[in-house]
Amino acid sequence: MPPAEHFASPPQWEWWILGYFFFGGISGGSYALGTLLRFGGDARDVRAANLAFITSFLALIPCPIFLMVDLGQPLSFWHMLVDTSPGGGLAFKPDSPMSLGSWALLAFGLFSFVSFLGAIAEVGWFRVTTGIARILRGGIGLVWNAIGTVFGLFICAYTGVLLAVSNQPVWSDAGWALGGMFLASALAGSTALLLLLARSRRDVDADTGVRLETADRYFVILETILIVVFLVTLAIAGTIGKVLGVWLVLWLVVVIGLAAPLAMLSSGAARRWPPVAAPLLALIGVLALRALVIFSAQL
Amino acid sequence: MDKPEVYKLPNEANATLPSRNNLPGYVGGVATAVVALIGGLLAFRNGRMNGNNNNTTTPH
Repeated sequence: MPPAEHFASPPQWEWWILGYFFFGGISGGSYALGTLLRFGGDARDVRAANLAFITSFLALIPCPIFLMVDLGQPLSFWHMLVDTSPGGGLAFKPDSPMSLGSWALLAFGLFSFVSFLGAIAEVGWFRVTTGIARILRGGIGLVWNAIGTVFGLFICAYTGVLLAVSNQPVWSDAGWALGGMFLASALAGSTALLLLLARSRRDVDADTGVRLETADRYFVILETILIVVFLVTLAIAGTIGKVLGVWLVLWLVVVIGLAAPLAMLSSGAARRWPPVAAPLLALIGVLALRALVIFSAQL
Repeated sequence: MDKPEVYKLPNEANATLPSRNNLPGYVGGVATAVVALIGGLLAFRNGRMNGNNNNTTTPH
């Protein structure tokens, strides 16, 4: 008999949700990278860190739009935060990943926006917010970045938990692995994007790029381990067939995206690729991983 | 009355809720985050210590 919890209809989460999962992951991951560069780097890494904070906020902008459009009744989005029933109040439900995610998205938006304002002043795009940049340069800024990173990483991971507590094969079979897998994938994708942007700008320290490549390899290894765990849990649950078949095409894209940063390091042929090739392939792989997890369970 | 399994619904013996993944899902995410943050910090700190200490920045 099939697992007894898989009797509900699919929630019909499709392209808008895929877009939210992708951009939300890139936003949270970019913010974490900016913080890591501030904590682990030195003055020469400031430009890359600013680029990461700018990327984080720009990637965050479409997220609430995608969620509101997916609701079908965009103007009712605030019901996710406010309970409109008699005696209502705030709609905060700790047991619901969707409720926690809504609040985390709101909180992260504040941290990402303020860090964005500081970063655009630092790079000279918008001098009006220089005061914010000055405050964020010191210890207050480090605390601000650390708290923002907690919310950012939550945005990366909770989408996997949201799927895992949904009554669908693949998603609920994956158990604890989905949240971690999405988080590692988001960090790998964000690093790839920052590398892509850093290589197109001459003012980012070249050594920062080298160390970003090292971090990228760590994230890719972590992501690969969690993908294997994900597949093993599906095999044990007997639902691995749902992510094979036609989905092997997307798995191929995922594998190429994972292998590209490693190939750049070890393969002579890959070293002759354009510098943007590996980051681009990695980003497409991040999108493909989310697409196959979202769509395979619902077909 | 028909039993739940006639309608492919769970019965008392095999009913499991996907919400069982709630806490383990967050724990998995936190564990991954800790490993990733340590890895990231190591990459940035060790890379700087072992790498080129000359400022290779090209002014824009």
